[in-house]
Amino acid sequence: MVISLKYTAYARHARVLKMRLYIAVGIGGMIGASLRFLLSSFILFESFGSLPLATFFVNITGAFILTFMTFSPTIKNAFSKTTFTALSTGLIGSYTTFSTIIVEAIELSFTQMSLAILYMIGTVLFGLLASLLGIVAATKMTKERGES
Amino acid sequence: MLLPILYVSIGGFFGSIARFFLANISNASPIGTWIANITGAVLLGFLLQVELSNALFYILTIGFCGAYTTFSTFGKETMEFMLNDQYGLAFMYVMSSFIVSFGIVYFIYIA
Repeated sequence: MVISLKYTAYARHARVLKMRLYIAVGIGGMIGASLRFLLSSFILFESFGSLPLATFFVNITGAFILTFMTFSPTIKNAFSKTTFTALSTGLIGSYTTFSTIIVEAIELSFTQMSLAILYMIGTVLFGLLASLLGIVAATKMTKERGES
Repeated sequence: MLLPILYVSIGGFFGSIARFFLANISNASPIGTWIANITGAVLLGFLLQVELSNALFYILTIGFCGAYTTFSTFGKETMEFMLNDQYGLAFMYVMSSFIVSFGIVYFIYIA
């Protein structure tokens, strides 16, 4: 009886923690999506040629920030696991987008297929470069902190 | 401007939770992101073909689909494949994400 009560209490506690994690990610997602929306509405990148540079901008910056924070123990340890997941998976994950890339590429492809392909390849190449730079910067920062 | 931000953030709340759920049930493997990105792109392509009220447009397209899909995690996962010398997997991951979603959404647009 005592054991089963204890078990129920643990299970309930685990459920509460899990629920809190999901809500934290959701709150991060609210901020990330709003940031993406604000940046792409106010910074008038779109008028720059026909390439969708607003989406490009948020995706590249987000790719750098995500690997930088994930590969940096200093940043990771500065937050609780819940807060870190809210910031990484929630905020940065929602700040960047994949669905918009595809739809923009398809709309571009109806006028200029070559531009659509250039947009997708450019996003992948610069995105991977940004992810790599984030890892390199985080590793370098960690080393410098360790040596000093 | 404030109302659209509210709508976008409501969509972002549910979109990020849905993506996080997929990541959890796939044990944090890139399969979760892969499914979220493809289904999210297809959903967005479909939503842009139907008449939506202003509020629903912001909630579902920029909010939900935008947050449900992700590029930052996609880039991180691809780099992790490459750091593990799994170049074939990295290539397959990038190509399949783009080709499958582009193909399906293209079909939705011309259909």
